[in-house]
Amino acid sequence: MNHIEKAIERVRTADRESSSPGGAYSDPGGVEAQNVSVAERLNLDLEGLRGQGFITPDVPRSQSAEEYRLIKRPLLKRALNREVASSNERSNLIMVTSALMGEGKTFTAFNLAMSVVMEYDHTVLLVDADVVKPHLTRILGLEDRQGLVDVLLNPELDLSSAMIQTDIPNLRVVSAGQFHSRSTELLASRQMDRLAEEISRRYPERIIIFDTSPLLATTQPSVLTHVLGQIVLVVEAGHTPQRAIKEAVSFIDRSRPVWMLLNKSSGGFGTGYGRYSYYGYG
Amino acid sequence: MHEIWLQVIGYLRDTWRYRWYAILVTWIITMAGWPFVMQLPDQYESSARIYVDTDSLLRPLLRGLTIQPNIQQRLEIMTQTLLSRPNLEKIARMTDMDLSAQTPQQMEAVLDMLERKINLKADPRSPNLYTITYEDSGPQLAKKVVQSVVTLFIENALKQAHRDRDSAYAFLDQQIAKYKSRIRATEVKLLEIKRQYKGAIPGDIGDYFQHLEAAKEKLQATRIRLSAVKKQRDELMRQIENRKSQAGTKQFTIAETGVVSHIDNRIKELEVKLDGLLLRYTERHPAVVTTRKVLASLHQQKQELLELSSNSNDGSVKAATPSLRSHQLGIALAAVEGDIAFQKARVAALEEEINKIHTLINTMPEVALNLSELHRVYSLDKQKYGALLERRETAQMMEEVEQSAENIKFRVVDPPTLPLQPSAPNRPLLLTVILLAGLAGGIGFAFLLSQLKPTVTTRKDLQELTELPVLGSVSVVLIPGSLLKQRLKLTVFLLSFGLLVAVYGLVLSIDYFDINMSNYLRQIMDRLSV
Repeated sequence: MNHIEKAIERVRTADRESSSPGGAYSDPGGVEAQNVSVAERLNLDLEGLRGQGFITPDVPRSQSAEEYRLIKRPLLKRALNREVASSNERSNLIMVTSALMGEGKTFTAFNLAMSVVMEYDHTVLLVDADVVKPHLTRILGLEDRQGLVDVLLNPELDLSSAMIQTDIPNLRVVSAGQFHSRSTELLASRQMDRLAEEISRRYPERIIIFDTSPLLATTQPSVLTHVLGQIVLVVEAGHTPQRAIKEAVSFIDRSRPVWMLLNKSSGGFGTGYGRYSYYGYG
Repeated sequence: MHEIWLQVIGYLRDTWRYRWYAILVTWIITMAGWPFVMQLPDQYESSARIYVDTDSLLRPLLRGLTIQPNIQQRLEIMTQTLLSRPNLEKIARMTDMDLSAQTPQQMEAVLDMLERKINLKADPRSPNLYTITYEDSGPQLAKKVVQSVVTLFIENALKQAHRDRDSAYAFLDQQIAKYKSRIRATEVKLLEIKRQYKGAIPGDIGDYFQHLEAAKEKLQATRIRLSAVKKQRDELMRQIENRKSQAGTKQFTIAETGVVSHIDNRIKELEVKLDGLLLRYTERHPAVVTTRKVLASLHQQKQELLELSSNSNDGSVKAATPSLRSHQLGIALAAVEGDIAFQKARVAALEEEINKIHTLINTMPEVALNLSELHRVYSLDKQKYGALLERRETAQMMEEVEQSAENIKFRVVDPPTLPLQPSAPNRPLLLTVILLAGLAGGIGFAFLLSQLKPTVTTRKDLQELTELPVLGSVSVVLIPGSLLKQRLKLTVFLLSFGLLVAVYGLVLSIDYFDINMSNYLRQIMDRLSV
């Protein structure tokens, strides 16, 4: 973690030096109609990320990549199928959550985003909605940026101003934002609902992935399940108690499509494709 | 099959999750168990074997009458009697174990311990060989206890044998008395029957029929005789009637008939006879007296006749004038009448006899059967009686023989041993058991924990649990750091396991080489302090 943070810090400082302080941001690939403020580009330290176990575009055929390839399909199908998803459903808003901490929400959210970006000609917006413990923000080193909370607080602020471009085309990131004492309430508020509606409508072709807090930690994620389109519940194999899983499921709005994802599984005989060492494709 | 396999793998994986708890529990168990086993006091076992022939006393008595009792039963009986409270108290006294007990409860405890630990075994192959064992932490005490048990055992067995013998004798005597009374009763019954059917018990029906035939023949003869005599009488009566009717027409003078002369002849005869007698005997001789009497009567008769004839010149006295012939006829008739009466009596008697025989013949079979039954019982009883008496005699003789001979009924085959080596506890076994228990406990504990907090391991589990679609499963991604860490942890785990086994080996060798740990430690301490 230190490794990557340092790398990103290096990049950022380099960028900051180069770009004008507090100036307008330019978004070369954005399709924003309104007042487009392009976030500064974030250079991803792919190697660092890979070292953490994330999938990266430069290794498209790792085992994880293969797995996510399969995983994302139903999500995408739902999200982009106009017949299935009516405009009310917001099915392009995907919520990634889990029952408890540390099950791999951020990991899953990021990898999903990467997977979609690598293959489909879709734009992905990755949002760190875990305002309690903004892990994603920290990994990407976006602590000081304006983020989701800021957008919610300030109705003047548009989400696009919080979007940060990365050096991977079609991948944009929104950090959690500044810490606020009422962050959780904000996320559970009507503003969030309105924001979600707006995003869903504005970017119908875009896949927006939200990395949220654990369902059993606070009440706010369960409210989010009403607001967002599809719910992905990440479960850590061999770790999360069954009781917790069931409880988490009970908090989810069942009118939404809910998907389970088994993370950190050690396979088992006959359940996987056979294990090949990660380093074999290194 | 695959399902079961998967499930097993699942359990193993779940248990593996809690491996650190498992190893902890294992360590706790072994660290507690092994020292405990090591400090268990050694037990020494003393044993003795004795040969006790209780049969020799009973054999002559019970040969052929009883079956050999079950060895196991006998052993149990012996153990029970041997380990009764009074006996245990004796043992405690003999071995000075009662000195350690001050209160009655302590004494009770001592006796209970004795009862529990004294072991009496019978050799299944030789019925009279018994093994006594006792285990204690002090070898001397063990030997003492076994010694006292042996002594007590012999006393007891002797007593028991005598008791058995006495009761066997009592039994015999009782049987003898019984049979004797039976025989008496039967004899009385036989006498009774004999009396009842006296004379008519030849015992054989054939005899009866002969008897019957004989009686019948006699009866027949008598009847014939009776009828003959009756005819005679009729004839005589007829003659007398004739005479009577003829008495008017014919007059007989005494002189016509030779009656007088007949009497005269007789008188003459008798007189001659009398003379002859008087030549030899005196007047008082009975023959002389009789002859004179007869002579006198004859004279009288003559006189009467003469008187009668002189009176019978008158023909009117017909009926009252019996002639000599009539008189003769009268005598004959009287004789015949007497005969008839006699024959009639005989007939009656014979008839009665025949009837009696008939009834006897009818009842004979029953009586005969009863009788034969009684005879049979009688002979059997007598036989039995004889056998019992004989047995008693023989037994007594044999007993004297055996007692006088140098027959040893009790032999201590192996005297009580003084054990040099401890027989218990089996330390290697116990140590291994504790190791295994520790492992099992650890694994069990881990398994239990895993089952208390079940998790999800496969997609299928997740699907089944939530009934929601599963997008897929993502394998664990091993980043280099974590791989190393994992490997390290595994190594530590295996090391601790290895350490456990090493300690196990160490403890085993301590026991094997019989290293007295406390001494050793003391030596080290001494060395260090010096």
